[in-house]
Amino acid sequence: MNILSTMNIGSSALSAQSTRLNAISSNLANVNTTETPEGGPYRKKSVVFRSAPAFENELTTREEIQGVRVDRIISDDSDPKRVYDPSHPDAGENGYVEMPNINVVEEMTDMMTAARAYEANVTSIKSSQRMAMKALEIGR
Amino acid sequence: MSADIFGGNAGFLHKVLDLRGEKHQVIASNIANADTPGYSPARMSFQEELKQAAEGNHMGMSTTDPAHMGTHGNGRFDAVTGSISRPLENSEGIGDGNPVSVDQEMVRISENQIRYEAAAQMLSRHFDKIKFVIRSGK
Repeated sequence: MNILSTMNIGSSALSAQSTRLNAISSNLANVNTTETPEGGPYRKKSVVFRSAPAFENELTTREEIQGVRVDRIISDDSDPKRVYDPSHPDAGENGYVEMPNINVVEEMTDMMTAARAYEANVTSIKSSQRMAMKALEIGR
Repeated sequence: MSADIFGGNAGFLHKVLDLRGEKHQVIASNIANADTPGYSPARMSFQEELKQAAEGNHMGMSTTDPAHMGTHGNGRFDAVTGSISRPLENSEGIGDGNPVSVDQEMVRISENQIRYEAAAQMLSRHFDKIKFVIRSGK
């Protein structure tokens, strides 16, 4: 077992999960954003994960041992929410404003899942570390 | 791997540490991929294979013909590689095609860690004994 490569698996998941947390924070921050550089209201972002070999340069590891990485970030193209607010500067002629299609409850639960997944991977890294320390103690 | 003065146990424990280390990687990769769509968790097992290798060791079979396969030393432990399977392949999971259960994997990872530490400690004790003998009991 290569100690450092074992930690690579966990660390690949940590960066993937924090990218997911970033996307969620961005969704929550932009829950009322009606103007974006691309035009129209903000669109919900989601990340797509894909399993990937954790170590590029190691031939000895089995292919079953995989890390994870963010494959792509997708924008939700579903129709924006229409809210009646004639006083809003971005309101259309009929008084409706196009708001981002973000469900705050959904984002909050997604955030909790991502945080727990992050913690699980921290535990797995800690476990690798403890095993490595134990191995170093052999013969001491 | 290990020289004979360390005894058969050292070779055995060495292999246990190797395999447990690899099993740790397998479980860590399941946890890392807990949210990857279409990923199915891998399971590593080696107990049976290792048991057979260890039992062969104690039987003390003798090679009375050059065509017999050698059964001495710790070489046979090296042949133990364990096997990895994906028993839940093509399972639906919770709708994302991913049947990884993080809590179950956490249980597995800590069990594996404890067993790894036990083997490390036993190996340590084993070397302590040798050290004790080398220092002629001092």
